[in-house]
Amino acid sequence: MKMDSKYRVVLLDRDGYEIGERSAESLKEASSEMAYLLSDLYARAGETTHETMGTYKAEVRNSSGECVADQLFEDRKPATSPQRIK
Amino acid sequence: MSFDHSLTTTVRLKADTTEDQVADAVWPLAEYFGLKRDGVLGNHNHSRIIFEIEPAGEGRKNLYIYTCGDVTDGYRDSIDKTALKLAPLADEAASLTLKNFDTADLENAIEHFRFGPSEELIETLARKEAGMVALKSLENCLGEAEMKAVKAILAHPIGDPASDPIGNALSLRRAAAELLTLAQSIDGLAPYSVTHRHEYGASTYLAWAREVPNEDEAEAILHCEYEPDRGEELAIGTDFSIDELTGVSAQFRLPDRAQKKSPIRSKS
Repeated sequence: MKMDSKYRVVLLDRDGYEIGERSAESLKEASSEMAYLLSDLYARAGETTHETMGTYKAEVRNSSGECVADQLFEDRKPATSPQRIK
Repeated sequence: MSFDHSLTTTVRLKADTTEDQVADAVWPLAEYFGLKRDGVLGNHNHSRIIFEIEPAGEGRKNLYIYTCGDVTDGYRDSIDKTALKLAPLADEAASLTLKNFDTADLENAIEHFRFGPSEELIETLARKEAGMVALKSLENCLGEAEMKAVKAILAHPIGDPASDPIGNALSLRRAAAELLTLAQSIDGLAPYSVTHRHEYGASTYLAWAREVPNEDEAEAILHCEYEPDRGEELAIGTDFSIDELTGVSAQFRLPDRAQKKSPIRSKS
């Protein structure tokens, strides 16, 4: 789906094809979306795995299409440190 | 029916808000995702909700909430409950923004669950958000400079003038200052003071120029003849900033200065 947002977060395979997409209004939100796209949870929601999808990296792109942040699948990490809810 | 979603908000909290209060407010969302009390948040491989309390300067704190993944329509009830619990903790109006990534209905793909310390602040936020939506549609028919001008006005929302005349007028003044700064970036004209000292005293004029005016240029704006032979003088300065001219600077607003003064002593 296309949303008129400040940032586009895309999931790319090794050939540079977009295999997932989210939108975000801030870099913080974009960072959360990037972590989600790279997570096993995202792949499981689509009843697949990142290995099957061929996930290589995720990119945050601004409204001009420039990449302003990225993360490789092999370097993926959660958006924040785990936190305990009391 | 389930849909892939994201939910986000960043809200400034009241200074005395405790972590327990925040956890309680976030709880309806956490509970929806099957978390038990004392569960771990913040890692997408284990849960679909993260929240962070971040310092926002001057002892303030911001709360950031993010959830993602498949949810059903019933999730809106949990969002409503969280919005209700966040309202008394919020120092300003904010909204929990729900995006549905699976719908083809783009009109309704984004929903805002607004909350805040007062109805008026929530309404002002709603107007601002509606303005931003309208702004995006204007981008196709307005030029870059026009868009910047419209954004300068929308960046300073105005509430009910009767309830806060000074605050709302200040918003307009700030918009005026931004418009003048924008004008300056286009034509390069900045404000200069020209003081004409003559035998009857001194007269001060305001001149807009690209650089500090010389004596000949400054003379052109005087209302009377400049006669240096009779001991008259012209002083050209950068005494006025745009903030001062538009009344944004509190230092030059007499009502603000009066408030800062110590209480008036009554005569005995």
